[in-house]
Amino acid sequence: MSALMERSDQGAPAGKGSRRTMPGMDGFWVFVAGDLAMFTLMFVTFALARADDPAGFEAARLTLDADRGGINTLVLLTSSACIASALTALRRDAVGQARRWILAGVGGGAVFVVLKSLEYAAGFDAGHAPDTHEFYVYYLTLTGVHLGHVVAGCVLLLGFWVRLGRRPEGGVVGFETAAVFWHLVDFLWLLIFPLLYLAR
Amino acid sequence: MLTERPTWMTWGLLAAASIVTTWILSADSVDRRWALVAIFVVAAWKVRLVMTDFIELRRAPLLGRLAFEGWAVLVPLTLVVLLWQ
Repeated sequence: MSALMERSDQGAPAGKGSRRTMPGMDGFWVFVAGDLAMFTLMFVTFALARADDPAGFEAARLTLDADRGGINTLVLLTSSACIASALTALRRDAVGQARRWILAGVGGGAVFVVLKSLEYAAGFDAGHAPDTHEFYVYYLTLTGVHLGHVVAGCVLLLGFWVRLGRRPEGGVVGFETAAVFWHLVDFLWLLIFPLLYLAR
Repeated sequence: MLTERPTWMTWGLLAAASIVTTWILSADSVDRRWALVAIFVVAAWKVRLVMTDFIELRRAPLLGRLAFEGWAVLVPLTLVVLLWQ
């Protein structure tokens, strides 16, 4: 964590051409690959289970609020754009601007957490628990693990917000790595949402 | 020559695609299988757009691009096949 919070210039992009390394810290991409493997396994397992009981899964899917899921998608995309803007500002050494973008990005993450918590509460109130249908086991596992990522991302980004306020000098690789994590959280949701809420 | 899209434009494309997916393609009036394909094609495009524009994989080494952008295509394709029935 402390290594991630350091801001070194190593590996920083140079202009518009191709770069020699992946964005952020190279080692972090091992974590990204592992995370993607885990989610891929969950996606495929869900799809196979759904194929065994399409009617039951469809009935359970209809109990979810796709409108709320769509709004959450827009919230996460906006938050991701804020973090991309924060990185652009940081590369220009506009630290104050970068911190404002980071706060806006974390705000988006917080809105997502609140909306998701309200969704869970409404679901449990309506009796949509894992013991009522297998669908809810997958729903709670996929969205729960993803929600954990959102919370971790918010904490990480807030750490950078504080860090940049105290020591604004330095490079951008640490923040670039945190941004990769935040965008990972974003694009995972772009697959979780249609899989659970939209696919009939 | 690599083209760089402004962040607001990438956000606009992603938001517009999300609105189409959530409130148009998922409507009951759209054929289930066509909707399934369309929803996951759009999802794959959106995931790839986040990777290329927000994560900046557009400027990453070819092998890295192939691995992660390939994932963005293969996973939705696999899901469509499994959910087709």
